[in-house]
Amino acid sequence: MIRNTIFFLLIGIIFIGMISPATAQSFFSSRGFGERTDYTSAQAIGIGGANIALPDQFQINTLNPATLVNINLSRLSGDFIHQSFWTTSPEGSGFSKYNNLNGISLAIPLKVNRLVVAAGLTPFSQFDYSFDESGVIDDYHYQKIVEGEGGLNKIHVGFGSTIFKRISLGAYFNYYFGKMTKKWRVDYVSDLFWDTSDDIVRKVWGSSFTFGVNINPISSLYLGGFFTPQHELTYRDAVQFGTQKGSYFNKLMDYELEEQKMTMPEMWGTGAVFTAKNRYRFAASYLLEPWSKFDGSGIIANELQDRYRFSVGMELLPSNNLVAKYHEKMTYRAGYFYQQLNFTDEDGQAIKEYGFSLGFGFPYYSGKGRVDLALQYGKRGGLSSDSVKENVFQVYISVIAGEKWFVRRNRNTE
Amino acid sequence: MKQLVNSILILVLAGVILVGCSKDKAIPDGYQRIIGNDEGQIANKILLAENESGAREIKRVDTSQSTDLLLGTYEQYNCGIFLQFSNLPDTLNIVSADLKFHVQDRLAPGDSSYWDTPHQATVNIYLSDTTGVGPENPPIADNTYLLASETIYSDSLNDIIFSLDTMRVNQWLKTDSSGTEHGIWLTTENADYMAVFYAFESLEATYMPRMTLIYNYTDSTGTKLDTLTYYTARDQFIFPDPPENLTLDDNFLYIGRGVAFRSYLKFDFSEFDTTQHINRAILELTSNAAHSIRNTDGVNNSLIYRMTSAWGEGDVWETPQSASYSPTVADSILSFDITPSVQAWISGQYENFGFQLQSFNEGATLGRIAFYSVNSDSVFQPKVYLYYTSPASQEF
Repeated sequence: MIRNTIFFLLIGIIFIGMISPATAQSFFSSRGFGERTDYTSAQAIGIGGANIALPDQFQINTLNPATLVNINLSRLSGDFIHQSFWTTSPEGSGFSKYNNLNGISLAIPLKVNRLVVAAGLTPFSQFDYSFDESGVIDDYHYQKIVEGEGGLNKIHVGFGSTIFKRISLGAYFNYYFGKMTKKWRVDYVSDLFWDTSDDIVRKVWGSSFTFGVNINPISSLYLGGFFTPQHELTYRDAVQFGTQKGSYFNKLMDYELEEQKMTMPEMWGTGAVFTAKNRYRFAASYLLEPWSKFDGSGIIANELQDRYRFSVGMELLPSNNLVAKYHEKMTYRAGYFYQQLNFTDEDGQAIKEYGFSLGFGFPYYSGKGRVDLALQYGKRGGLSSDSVKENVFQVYISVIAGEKWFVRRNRNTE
Repeated sequence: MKQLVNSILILVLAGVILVGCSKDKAIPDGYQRIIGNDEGQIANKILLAENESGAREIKRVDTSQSTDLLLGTYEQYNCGIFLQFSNLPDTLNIVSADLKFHVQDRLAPGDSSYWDTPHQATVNIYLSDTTGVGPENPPIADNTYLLASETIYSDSLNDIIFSLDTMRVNQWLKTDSSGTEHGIWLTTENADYMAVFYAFESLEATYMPRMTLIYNYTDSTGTKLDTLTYYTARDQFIFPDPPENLTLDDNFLYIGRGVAFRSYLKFDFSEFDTTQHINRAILELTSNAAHSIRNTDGVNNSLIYRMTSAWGEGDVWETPQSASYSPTVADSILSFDITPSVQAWISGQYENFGFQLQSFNEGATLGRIAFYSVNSDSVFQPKVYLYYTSPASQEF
């Protein structure tokens, strides 16, 4: 049955990947740095994102490195996301979809329950949209197009370690890199015209640290938190303005600006997990990223505001009974979140988002591996009647493999 | 439970596939919400030429490659023909010599009713020197060597043959058989039209100008006659009068062929900065048929050059844009796509020295186009129609 499940999931992933473009197309990806990504794993999404203090053998937590100590096998996880957006504005409605890999992580326990090291590559923000508008001047028709593409990625390398009994600490070194491209076009239908073509490319790079702590005061309760201090990123813009006709490009401007710095705000979060009867796990988290402290004069068009997210969720943990049926060995999840995004709409109003999620964990390979599936449905938008609003449906799939590495073999001696 | 889980999985997969197959559609006002109303404007503008436009250059041009030979008078244009031969005999006794031309066309102001009555011209044929016969140095007739004087008529539509004075021809051949020092110069008197003959460059043996010499010789059987035919080594039509003497109306810009008129046009693009994207720039000139002359090949091709130095500092220009003028009795509008030039000026790549307007293949025949100048009504003045876009903000 598990083979069938995995088979169907892989078929779905491949099929969707082939027919759908890897562009976000959410209207809100055009604001600020694009859509921020905190959670990449289906397990985290399944419980609404309330995973800051979650002690899990499978999850490679990208927010709080202190929870890594719970990983008991070498783990490799790959995450996939599908998003569908139903967007409405006073002028009409739209639809877009997005598929992409959502991260890959590796964790290796150097000493079980004492020291685990991990590394991963995950998206930090995504910036993908394409909008156009038609017009006519003196009977000559044209189309104006604005496109954004790219985003920031994050490589994190770190560890989680039990320092004292029931207290674990962890740290990540994060390296950010990425490219954001904004294109503006005016395409005339007539071949008599030169089309307008403006490109600005921004390359960004930099690093930060994340520190985490997880405390287990009593066996059924975990309290955790993480903190990423304010840090600087470097960026360099390249601008090319011009007009184009066929293969001819007339350059108006083509220059690269000097490297500049921008100050990214700190981010911190705190959470709690309570486990009842060894089967029911309840989690809550709060996360804050004060984007009002962002400092990068003139490089972001939209007004930024503090982002916060409140999440609650629960898990029905799998049975430990060796003869339990498969569905009893699965994990079931549900969650809810509410957040304020880090940018305002064009009227300066805050944009809120909330959503519900369901999740499943499918064990395989005698429980050493797990495929997580999460479905999330949410709404986001400004409060005024003129704001853009989106209904978002997301599917997350994470495949987590586990193996015991660095096993010392006993030598038979004669 | 297992069936429930299976059902959920299948439903999810089906939903994802169904949604994944749906077509993307952006919200209608997404562009405006991102760019706004004030940025990224698409606009157009009409520019009129500056007052300094209209400066004019008039010059003779090299017509030696033309397939036309013009002879006679058209308005203020008085045209003659210069011929040069080579390797002529210097020991023969010439008993007869003639010069033959094949008529190609005839020109006169007015419409076709002008030819209802025949017109005529007296053609005088002289020897002339050959030195310095360039565009600015017309041949000088040697009036002591009149070779022929005959009347031609406008209704002669085929060959015209001029009989040459054989005594003068013999004198000429004995002193300059190589043809390097003297040529033949044809002018007219009292002409009220212009004849157009085929030139050597027409490459039609039956049409080329040729000189036929009949000479006698004596052999054992007695005195006999023989004929030699010579085609021109070089021929061209020339306007001997100083071109500056041509009086023209200052309310027009002129381009010309035969006598080259080149006119200067300048537009001020200083109000546009380097961020403006020029999508199209069209120069429109309105021709005045009454002040234009239709040339023999029917179509005047006008050229416009972006100048790379100030007017009057030298013949320096870039690859031209062209527009054809098909002559009609009515005024016409000629359009030139000058987008690359305007883009280069506004971006600062080149300095704006203006345009030079001239005819294509100025030495080919007689022709002239008059365009309304800056002194005309604004409806007819030279104009540039500009379509441009102002860039949108480049902030993310």
